[in-house]
Amino acid sequence: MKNCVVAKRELLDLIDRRIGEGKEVVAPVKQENQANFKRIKSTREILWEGPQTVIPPKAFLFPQEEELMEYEVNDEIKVKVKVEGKPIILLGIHPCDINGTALLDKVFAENNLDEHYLKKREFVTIIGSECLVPCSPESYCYRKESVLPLEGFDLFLTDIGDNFFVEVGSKKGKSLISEIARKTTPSDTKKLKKIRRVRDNLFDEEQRKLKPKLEDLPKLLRENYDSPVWDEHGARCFSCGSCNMVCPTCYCFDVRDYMELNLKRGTRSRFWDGCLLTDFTKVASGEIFREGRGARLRHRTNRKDWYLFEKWERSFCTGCGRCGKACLTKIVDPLDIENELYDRWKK
Amino acid sequence: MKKPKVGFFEFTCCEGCQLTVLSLGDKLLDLFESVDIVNFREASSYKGQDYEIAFIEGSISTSKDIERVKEIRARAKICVALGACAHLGGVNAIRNFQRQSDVRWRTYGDKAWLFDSILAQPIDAVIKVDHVIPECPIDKKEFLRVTASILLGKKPFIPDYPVCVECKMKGNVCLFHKPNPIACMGPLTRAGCGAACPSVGNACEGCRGLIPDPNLSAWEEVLKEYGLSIEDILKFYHMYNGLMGVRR
Amino acid sequence: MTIYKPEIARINRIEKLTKTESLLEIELLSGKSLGHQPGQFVEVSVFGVGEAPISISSAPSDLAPFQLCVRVIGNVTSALCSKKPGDKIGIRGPFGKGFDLKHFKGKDILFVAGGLGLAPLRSLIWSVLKSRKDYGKVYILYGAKRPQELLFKEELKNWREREDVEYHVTVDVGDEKWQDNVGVITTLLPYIQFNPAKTQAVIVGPPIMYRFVIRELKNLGTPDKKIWVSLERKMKCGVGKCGHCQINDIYVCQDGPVFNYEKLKNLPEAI
Repeated sequence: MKNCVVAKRELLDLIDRRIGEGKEVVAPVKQENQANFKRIKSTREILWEGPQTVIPPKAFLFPQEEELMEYEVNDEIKVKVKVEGKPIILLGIHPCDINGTALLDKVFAENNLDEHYLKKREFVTIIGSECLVPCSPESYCYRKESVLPLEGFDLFLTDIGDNFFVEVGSKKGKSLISEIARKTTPSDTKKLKKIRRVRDNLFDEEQRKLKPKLEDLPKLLRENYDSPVWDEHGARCFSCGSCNMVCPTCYCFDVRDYMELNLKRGTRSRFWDGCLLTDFTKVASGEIFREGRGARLRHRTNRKDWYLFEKWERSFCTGCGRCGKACLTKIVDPLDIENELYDRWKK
Repeated sequence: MKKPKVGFFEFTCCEGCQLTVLSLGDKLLDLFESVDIVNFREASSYKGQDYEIAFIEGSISTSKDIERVKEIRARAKICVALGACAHLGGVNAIRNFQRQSDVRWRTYGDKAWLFDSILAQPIDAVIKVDHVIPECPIDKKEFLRVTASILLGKKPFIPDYPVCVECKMKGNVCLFHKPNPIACMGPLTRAGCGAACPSVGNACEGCRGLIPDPNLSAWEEVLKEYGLSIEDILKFYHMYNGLMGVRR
Repeated sequence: MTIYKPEIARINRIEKLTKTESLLEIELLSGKSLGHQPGQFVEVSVFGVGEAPISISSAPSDLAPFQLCVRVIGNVTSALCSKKPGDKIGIRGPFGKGFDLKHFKGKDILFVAGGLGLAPLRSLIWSVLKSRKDYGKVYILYGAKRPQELLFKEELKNWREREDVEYHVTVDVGDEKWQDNVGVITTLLPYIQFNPAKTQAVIVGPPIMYRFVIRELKNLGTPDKKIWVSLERKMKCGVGKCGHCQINDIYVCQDGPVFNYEKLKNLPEAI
């Protein structure tokens, strides 16, 4: 779809008008020394640059707690499935999170369609914005080819001065700005290119380096499956699952039934779960199939940069840096682990 | 279906957990419809002794308590520890780490000889406990869910993962990462409270007890990094978890 | 309809097999046949209690009823075993990859079942015995902890009496009436003279059993690709989403629970 240019002021006014009409617009806003996605009353609240939100935008598509169905148990059993979505504009989404969402789109639509996710997804409009400075010392999106989104957005904005350069990702995105969009000029494209060149240099300089080549990560992890690094890091793991919760591509879930006191009506809901949690693989007999903090840490890292990487030909770590920030003992960051494996491997 | 008979009992505690039950609002009516409450001092003067489910609040703190809780156990089919005092010994057990003669003098003065106080203990030190509703005080939603599970004959779901899970789900800025960091027991403490304290900027003090496999060495490493001493760290454990055998 | 919505089914019959295991005969209210492959599993819902993966214990059939052999172990299985005929439950599935009979046709088959492992294996055993002439020799080795824990006692008797089946049984601890072998399951292997080159070996049992049985079979010359196992994991969603049953890069609920050892041996988390 054709790219275009919009005047910044006009786009923000347009969004503010939509908010005024009652449209739900969600954007990153400052929360203490970090940020979070909140429903905004005005585009002035948006935090365009700066620290990553604590929770990624997945929460709007795959909520922390989501009722899958409710039921009534009498002589007959009535089950009512809840597949619901509501229109939301997610605005100011960083490229890493757009890419993360695009990966979730794939896994939830693979083979068995997850209607609960897809219905929400259908109603969500994603307006991304390009990061021109690294958002946090923990992030390394440049190393994961995630400074730009590949897919999964409706509109993607780059600040080129008075205007936004807009990449249009969908018809939904196009129609949203059709009244204010104008054609790009060669000078707009030139500006964009220059901004991105500067951005690349800045990110390359400031973000931590990934020592192995990105495409070699599956091989690195395969060959270092039995590395002592896993248990060394694992020894300092709380098994607290913080890394899973804050990850834009972690999508594992638990399912639980809750009955009301009358024992007639109940619900079945799913909840975010995490492979770092001790009981993640525990079956009813009490057996835990992935015992050991190191083995669980390895599983998460392998999922991101080996198992799912090979399957979808794209790393499932977007380099957003959230897990590295969240981990109190600083053991979980895939880039740190991979560099350490690489250093020892090369010796 | 016949309604099961239920009793509420209290030992050494503030009775805040039973107050929580009484403040269930609409849901209290659902509770009355689902069970037959025969013994609940805070709600009724009637004292029936034919209960099947006993919710027991408070820690065991006198030798008389031992006899009484055993009697309750003998009558009830199912005993549920209600809240941190019954579950862990609660804040009452802080005194276990002080000289008992000092504690008795401070509390009872020259009448100390009238009271037979013993070290505070969780009820499972004396009787077999079937289910636990943790927290100080208990969480309303969890009380309703656990009660429904018991009525259904199902082992209630009480998380074995730590508070960090729920704290992150809420999108809280980690207390350790605030501009003025606060040391928090979240990484060790059993979740289920929805990260109630960290969500309002207070440290988790471990009132739901520790998870089954707390990584104590990692936690102590983190606290030292934040400039806390061993004594500070022990204070954390002693608030609610002095008796948990955390040094297993 | 969504991938998580169970179909309502009725329990037709419950038979207590041992102190802890019951056989449930179940039928979808729609009257449709389940259409499963031996070795596949279903997600069983007891509403309000939860959902649990349970392997199908009966051989595929055009008839609607199917059977699950359930051990009382967690919330869902306890609730299931205390149900009465006529009670309603939920069923999703069948899920996963079961035993593909084309790998077994014309071959000798060695069945090795430990404890509750007989439950899923029974669906394959009866599939084979139903068209017995399509297969070569059939050996069944079955082990349990104690005599009173043996499942499907009538069927065991049938297998023992059949001329076209070689059946051996063992228990870890016998009692005064026990006249068969005592010892772990591998102690039954010397009883049979199977040809490793012609035999497909199928092993289902507790996790610990696999390691020992596979080692013995390999010592006897069985090639990896002639060894089949069915793995237990926490198959929560059954549709490859929730992540709980993952073993390295595969999902047991999609790629298993039945695996050929040739594939499995490359998955360090498997056995």
